[in-house]
Amino acid sequence: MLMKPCCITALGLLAVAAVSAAFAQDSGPFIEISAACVPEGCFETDPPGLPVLITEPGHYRLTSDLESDGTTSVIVVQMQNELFRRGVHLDLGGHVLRGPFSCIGTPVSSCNTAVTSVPAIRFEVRNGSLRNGTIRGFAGPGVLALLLESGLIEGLMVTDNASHGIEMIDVVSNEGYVIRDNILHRNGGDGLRAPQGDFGHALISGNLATGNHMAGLRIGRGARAADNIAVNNASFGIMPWSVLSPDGQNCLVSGNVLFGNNNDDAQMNCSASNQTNQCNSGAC
Amino acid sequence: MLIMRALLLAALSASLSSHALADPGVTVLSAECAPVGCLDSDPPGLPIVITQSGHYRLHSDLQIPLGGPSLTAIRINAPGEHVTLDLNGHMIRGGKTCTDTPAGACTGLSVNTGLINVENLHSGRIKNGRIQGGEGYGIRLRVTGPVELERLHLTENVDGVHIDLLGAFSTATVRLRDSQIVRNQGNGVRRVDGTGLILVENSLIHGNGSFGVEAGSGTDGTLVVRDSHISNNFTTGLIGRSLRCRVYDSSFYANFNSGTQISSCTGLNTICRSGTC
Repeated sequence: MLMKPCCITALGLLAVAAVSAAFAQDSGPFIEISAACVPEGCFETDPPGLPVLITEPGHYRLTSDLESDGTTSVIVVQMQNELFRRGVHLDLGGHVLRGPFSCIGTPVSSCNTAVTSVPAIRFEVRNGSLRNGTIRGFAGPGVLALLLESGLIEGLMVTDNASHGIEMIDVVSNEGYVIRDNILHRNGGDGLRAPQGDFGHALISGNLATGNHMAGLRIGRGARAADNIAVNNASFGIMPWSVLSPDGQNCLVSGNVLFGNNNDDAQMNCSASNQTNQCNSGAC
Repeated sequence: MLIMRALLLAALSASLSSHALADPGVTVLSAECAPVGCLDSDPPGLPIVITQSGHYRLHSDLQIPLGGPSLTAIRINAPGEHVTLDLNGHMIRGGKTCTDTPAGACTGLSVNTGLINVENLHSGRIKNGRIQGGEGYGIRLRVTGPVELERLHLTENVDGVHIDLLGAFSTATVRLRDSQIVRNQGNGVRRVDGTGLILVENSLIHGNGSFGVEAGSGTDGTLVVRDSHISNNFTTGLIGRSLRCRVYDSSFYANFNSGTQISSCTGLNTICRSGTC
């Protein structure tokens, strides 16, 4: 991976290796992305300006907030090539990707922009991870993920986006993916919109979905939703797609807490009840 | 002063490089930089004042003497911004001490501030440390968006966590998890009147001098407690005072001298081993 001077200065490759190793406090050497390097491109394959374009495998970390007009993507990861199974690991470093928009009402009644399909982060990989940051104030979804083989999305706060919080595209995910410990807060669509059908064998766990304009968690028949909390969403706390699994069911859900969704009517609309979930004031 | 601050920060940077190199994108806070100001916007002395979005990490304990002059160690006043504050295993220590369990006979003042005083913020995370002995609250929160408090130990403060959801802060969501809130002078967790969502998960709330968890009277607010243990608090373990309060998969023990364990809140799959739910 060759990098432009903005990110590694003129230290030379040896020094680069030393610096990268020094940055390896949490999870190994990483490639830095920041507002300072964006104007000229943060690495050789990244064109100047937004979005930051990642087309090679590696461990990338955001080291400052990034701001945009909210209608264009901030980071685009495109790694469909089968050679790139090593994947992309993108750590937002506790920072925020920020657009200018916001939503009002709890659950959200409206947002102050027209909805688009352009995400703040487009995460299109054979496998990889996206973690540890906040995505806020965009006209499109906070994250649009297309995980061709496997992936992990964790520790995100996704709030005040006019579309869905995290949206997954229908693809055949051979190994499955994990969506865990995210906060999906007051978005203009679903909190999480996972793929339907057999696409997206997934474990969706430990997420908090609250105050979203549509469902808290939208899940497909190939997913298990466990130990999530969905509170005060306008539609169901957990809402399956209509495609049924071979046993005639559409949900595999357990240990979830659903409260105050759907105007205090039914909290989820799975085709089979599951007594390990808690809905408002009793079993679901 | 600026030259002195620059020299000190340079020395700190050199010191850091000798053991653990500074992490790009992370701003270091410490007792060493506090006397001259840890940030451009931070005046000398405590509290350390954060006014801008960012990722901040504590590199030493912070100590506040009994009676001040400041009763706040870290003040966050960053409207609309996002702050990640990693206490990095360190302790923020005020001068208050309490005896007994439930907490009683506490020393020091009781004022409306916090050792960590979040005056205005959109969203963020505060994690991974011990906050003890505040003559105000351990953490005082006034936020407008989602905030996570995780892996914290709060003890011998006025309240452990004090959350204000009034007015502009009615859209807040506060998720407190994997934490111990024990032996604070007043409440373990207190939600002041107003709306918004407070979620307590996988936490121990024990031996506080008033309620374990107390919600204010705002009926539009939501309080959810899950997978937690609430025990030996001086009065009721949890008082909802709200139409939108639920406790799931939790346990209560010996609160209110083994009297009422839960009040104005519905418990589901919840055990009260001493007293009534």
